Amino acid sequence: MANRLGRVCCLLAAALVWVRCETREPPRARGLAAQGVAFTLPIDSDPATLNFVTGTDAWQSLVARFVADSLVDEGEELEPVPRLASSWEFSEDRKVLTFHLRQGVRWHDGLPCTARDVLFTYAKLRDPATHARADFLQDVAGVTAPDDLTLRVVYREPTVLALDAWKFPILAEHLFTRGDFLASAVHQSPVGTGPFRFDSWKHGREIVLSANRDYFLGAPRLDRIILKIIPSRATQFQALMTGEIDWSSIPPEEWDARKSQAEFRRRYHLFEYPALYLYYIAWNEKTPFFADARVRNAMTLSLDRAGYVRKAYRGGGIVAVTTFHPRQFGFDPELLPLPHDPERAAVLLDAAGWSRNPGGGPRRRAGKRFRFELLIFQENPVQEQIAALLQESLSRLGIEMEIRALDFPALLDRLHRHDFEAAFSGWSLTPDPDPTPFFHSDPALGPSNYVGYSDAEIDRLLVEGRHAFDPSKRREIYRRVQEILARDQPYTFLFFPIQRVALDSRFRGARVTAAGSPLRAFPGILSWYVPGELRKRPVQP
Amino acid sequence: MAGFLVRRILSVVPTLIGITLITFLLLEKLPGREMALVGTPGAGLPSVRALEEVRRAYHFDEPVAGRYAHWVLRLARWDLGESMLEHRPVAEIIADAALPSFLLNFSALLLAFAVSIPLGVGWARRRGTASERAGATLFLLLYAFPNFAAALLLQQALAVRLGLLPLQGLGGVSEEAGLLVRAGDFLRHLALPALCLSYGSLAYLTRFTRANLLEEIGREYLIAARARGLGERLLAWKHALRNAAIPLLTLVGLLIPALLGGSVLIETIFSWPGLGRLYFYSLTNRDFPVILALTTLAALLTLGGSFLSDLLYAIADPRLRREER
Repeated sequence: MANRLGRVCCLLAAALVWVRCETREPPRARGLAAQGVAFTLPIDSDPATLNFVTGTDAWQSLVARFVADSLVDEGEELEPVPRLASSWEFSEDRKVLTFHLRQGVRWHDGLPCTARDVLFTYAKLRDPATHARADFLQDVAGVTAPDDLTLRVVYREPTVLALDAWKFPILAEHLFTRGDFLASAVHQSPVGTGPFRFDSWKHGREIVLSANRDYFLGAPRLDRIILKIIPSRATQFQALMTGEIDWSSIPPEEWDARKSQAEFRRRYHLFEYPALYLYYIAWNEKTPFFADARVRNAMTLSLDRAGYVRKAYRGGGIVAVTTFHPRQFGFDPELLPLPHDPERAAVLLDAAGWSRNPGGGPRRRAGKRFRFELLIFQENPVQEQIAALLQESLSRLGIEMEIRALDFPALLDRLHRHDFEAAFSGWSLTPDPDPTPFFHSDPALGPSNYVGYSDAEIDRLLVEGRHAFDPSKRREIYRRVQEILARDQPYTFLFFPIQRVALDSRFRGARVTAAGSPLRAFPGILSWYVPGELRKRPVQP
Repeated sequence: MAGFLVRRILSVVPTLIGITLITFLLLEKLPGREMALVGTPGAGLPSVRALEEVRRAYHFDEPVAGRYAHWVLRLARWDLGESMLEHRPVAEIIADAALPSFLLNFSALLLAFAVSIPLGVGWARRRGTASERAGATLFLLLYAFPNFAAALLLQQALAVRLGLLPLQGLGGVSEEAGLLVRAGDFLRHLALPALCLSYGSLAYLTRFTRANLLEEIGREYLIAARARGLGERLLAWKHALRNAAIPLLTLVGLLIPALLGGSVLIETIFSWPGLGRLYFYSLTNRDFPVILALTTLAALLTLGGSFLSDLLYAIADPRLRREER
């Protein structure tokens, strides 16, 4: 019996080896003549939809950056740069913004792109029935198109954020004349004006884009972009090693070893850049614990943020002082993060009335124990690690903290209803540093101020900051804002993670800019290319 | 037999209604369904107005009973509805994931049975020998070894280091390639995930086969057969196995739903776009129509599976048929 099984196994193994010989020639080399240079990058999951107006996930917006154009985009220094608009001007009182669109721009299906398409997209963004997120347009009073290439935007009041509002991808009106907008088949195969055309989307497998040879800024020098759906970050990195993909983030635990390997550095360009992202812990000021700034300061002091970033995150982060990112306008480099100082934390807690017996034991105030729950996102190792570290640090101070992991809708729901004591989360930051949504006490201006932070001076400064057109004045306002936030610690601002990615070395022209990822700034990927002699390089095993 | 069939089929309907109703009510209790549709982790919270708009658009503000009735009526017309997240038909979304899931699970089951039945028979025949003990120990060790860890190790060894098998995905040889090349490519992509899904059940299935066979081998009819001079191989394979097969067939019926079940971890590690990840993703994104459809599908398969094992029983054991008559 065992003999027969052995024979079957041998046969199977032989079959596999045979099939391998059959397909030994790597797919990339085989199709090279016909398909040209493809850049293959991994994405964690399918976008929910390729509806560029309603989509909320990162993968949808990545595809949108390639396939569609916005009027304005962010440049390498995070400055606004023209994309679909060729220029713009503000009226004297800065209430009217006029865009001039590029001439002769055509949709991938050949029809001309006009200001009416922009109007259409704007209307869809503001239409409650699409459920689109358009908070960035709330200051816009009205938009008109005097002619096919001009767009006139009227603002309720002048704001420095006026241009930032026009970075959304534009849809082609003529494709949506009939039927339900949300259920339209166009969102499964989008048509844009961008540097790459949409080719195909195999759900759960890949999205393929191909170069738009007629792009108004010149044809991209890559022929195709393939977004492969690889949900596991560990598998993504392995797929980079096998040559299946050209781009991958490098896991923190791999970074030190890989960085020093000559062979690895020869095969890949390594990029390191701080992401425009911030991890934080929100302290709900409506609870008896965190209404007092001294307690919130003690929380931050008790946690060894620098130690965590250095050890567990392998130096892959910058400890934050406030929401202001070192690369954003107005960042105050002189303001330093609170140190790790549990003794000072204990003093502050005592001063706030949360005292403990000299021999230790739990902290109490008026008989009530200091015990709270921290909400974290499930399946997020960074949050789990920091939460555990905080739990341990606080227990040494006589504070009991329970950790509760929730999925994202449940956690956002709790934040929305202010039904939490402390919550771990993160923010994607915009190029402009304006932190009004996080800290303004008016819910209309501060929809993300779920901790209930309220400070009259901050409220005034934030509004002033939005209207300060003189950069030095605005810088001065934000210097003061950062000072107050650092003093009040409405959140424990943890750190800005540093992204570490590898790109196959045959690609040239990719570089890190102030915008971060080589994929992010405009023109970004338009300047990438593969030199002729490397075009036929076979995939390495 | 016919009466038995009709009774079994009719009993499915109330069970199915019960299962879907309970699922519907449980989903009602999940927090954050509006947030799942308009909220984004990492971005600011949506406005109160936006949340209300979503609640109205998806009829969350209406009574549960009405919405359940609406869903059942649509289901009765074979309409599973539309995903709230992707805005495409649920049937299409499930079909996309069902085929990869089926192929993976089917291969894993086939692999497990193909190895464990012959081995189980063999071990029953030479029970107590060193080879049987060694094999059983090995399988128990495998049983205890988590499959995601095995998946990572095998990926590292066979795909990254040696380059023998593909690392992940379903494969993607261009359509112009011959059918044989494309099938070969797919099988090579299937090998590692199927292996990781199957090895855990080897210990159980071999023991199961062996125990059932041993029970038969001791029976008088086999002693009599042996006395008539039948060879040991024939005895075990033809006579004993046929009788020992009945419990195995029950097992097959119960394993039918597993054919479309999914392992979130294995699917994630190997980028296999199957139903496990779809279910998980729909749940964390509160995509209720998809969750309901998948639950209904699972319930149908489970009920169908147990029905099938009853039927197989009847076929394998002529006495059961005779009693019905």
